[in-house]
Amino acid sequence: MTRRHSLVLFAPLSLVAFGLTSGCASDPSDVGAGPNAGKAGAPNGVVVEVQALDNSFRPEALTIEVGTEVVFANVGRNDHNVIPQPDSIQGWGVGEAEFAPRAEYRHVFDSPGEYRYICTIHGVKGKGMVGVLTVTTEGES
Amino acid sequence: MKRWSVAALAVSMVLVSCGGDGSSSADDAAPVSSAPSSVAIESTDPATTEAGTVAPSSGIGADGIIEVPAEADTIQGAVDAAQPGDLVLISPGIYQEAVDVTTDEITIRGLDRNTVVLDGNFELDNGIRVVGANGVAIENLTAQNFTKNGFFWTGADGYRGSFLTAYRNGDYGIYAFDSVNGQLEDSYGSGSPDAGFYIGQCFPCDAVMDNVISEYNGLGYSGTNAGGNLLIVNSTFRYNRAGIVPNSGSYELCYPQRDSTIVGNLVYSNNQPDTPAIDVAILAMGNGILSAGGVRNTISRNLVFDHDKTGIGLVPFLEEDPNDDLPPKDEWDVDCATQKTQAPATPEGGLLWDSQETRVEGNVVSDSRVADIAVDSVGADLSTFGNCWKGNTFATSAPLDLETLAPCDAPVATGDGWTKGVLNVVSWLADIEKAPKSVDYKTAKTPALTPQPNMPDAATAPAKPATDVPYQVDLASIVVPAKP
Repeated sequence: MTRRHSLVLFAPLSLVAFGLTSGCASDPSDVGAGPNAGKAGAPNGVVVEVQALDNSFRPEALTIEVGTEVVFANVGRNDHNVIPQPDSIQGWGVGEAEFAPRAEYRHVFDSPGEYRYICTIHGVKGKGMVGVLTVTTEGES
Repeated sequence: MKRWSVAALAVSMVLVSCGGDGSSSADDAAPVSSAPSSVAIESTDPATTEAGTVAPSSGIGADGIIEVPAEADTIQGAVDAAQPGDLVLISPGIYQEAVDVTTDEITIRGLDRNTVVLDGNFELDNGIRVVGANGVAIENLTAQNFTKNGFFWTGADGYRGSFLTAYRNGDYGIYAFDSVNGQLEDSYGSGSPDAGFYIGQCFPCDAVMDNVISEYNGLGYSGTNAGGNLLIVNSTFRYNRAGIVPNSGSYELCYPQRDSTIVGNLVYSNNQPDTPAIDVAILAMGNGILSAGGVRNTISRNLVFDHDKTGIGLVPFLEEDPNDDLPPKDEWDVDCATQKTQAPATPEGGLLWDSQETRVEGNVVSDSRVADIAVDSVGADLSTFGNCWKGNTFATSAPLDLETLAPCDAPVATGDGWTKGVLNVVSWLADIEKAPKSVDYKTAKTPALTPQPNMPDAATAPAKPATDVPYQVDLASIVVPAKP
């Protein structure tokens, strides 16, 4: 678990999200389990944030380009996790032990597709605390 | 309202909320995938069936009733088989399950509140979790020893919990989040580090909490960003760290907390030192009814006594690392659904949520070691907040002569009267160090459960989904409760 960094915000208009400059260096220890764990550092220079509030992701839906780094930040006071939904793309995510309040998890999404995820503590498939990332090839989003 | 730098507020106030469990949790080391697990029935019926399946029966649920374990081995199996309008009727036994409900308008009922027991064995997360299902009613059973919550509704339009017992659960006892049109009644919550009862992130909530008992929790009631036709009435909050604590914060949506009505409750001895407690419960310890950054609440005709700090206090909540700006007053009426569509601002520092425009009237408050009725902020002019006090029976106030300074339905006083005998809520921070630490909910000396009243006619009453809640409350008829 790491403490949340002070974040410098910018807002890519196409994302309606909470963007971060790539100046927030990735720390491989920030990332959770899974085959792609440790893939931090945005190849395309874009870093965006998804907040885990109590008990919802904000934004719930986000479209990004391949090579974007997403920082999931637990800005709530509850424990949360970020788990790929069973029928969605696997190999990333973070459990609640590494995602306590003020912690963050980073992952670079380097393959296009729809990544649907859930906080299993506060949601079930498609309901409750759920979110989706749509990763497009360069220039599509 | 004002914005403060975090540094400037490092020594200032604070209060509240809900959420993070300050105590250790059995699933701290949970694997990445932590889907609810189940099941093993320890039925009092010697004919225990194999766990995890619905018993083969061509007629299961055909009469609209699915009996557990006669027709379904497990509660989860019965719930999964149920259709809207069905009744899941559970026989006495200990059910080691974490039940998820995603079907609308089913009723889940125990035949006996005290012997139909869902037990998480300090491993499973929620006793019954209703996610995005509308109109689900849960009646007449117990949930204990869960790492998170006893009973949990989230994203529901229509919910009801009646004759429920939540005991020794690791977060909340009975928890309604982001849900509207609800009724929690005739229920009991004990032994949770956060709140025994919680209603949060809803505006308007259109919900009623009536005739509940909450004791030996961190907070008796917590309601973050909840309000709008939200009534907390005729209930008892005792032996918690703090009693009734509505609160604001941007770590949940739909801020600020506003428009809750707290009437006719018995609130006493919320100084309990040996409960499990999240950090804010420790900070709020020793207060009966404490608005922590709430606005436009009504607190009337409650009997409040024996508190180490305030009987009824209106104090600020400092949010050091907010996720949005303070909403201006002209946005307080924005409903939750609308607010969810709005992008947040970029916060530049900590926020101080002040308690404002709250009416404190006709309460009977006594034996408060700091002040029976009180208000405070950090460096602000208290006369500008629009709070008022009227017709309360009390001995002490902070500032002095509070009912004279800010009478309801009359002009507020200005001048140095507001500086005499002030509460000094900042000093509470120092008290944290001296306060008894949280006790692990699994081992806290929470008094053993005593038999709780059963719902009438549990075996024969028809299914009653939560499609007609909340029930009407005749607020005008509620009087100050008698002292026990």
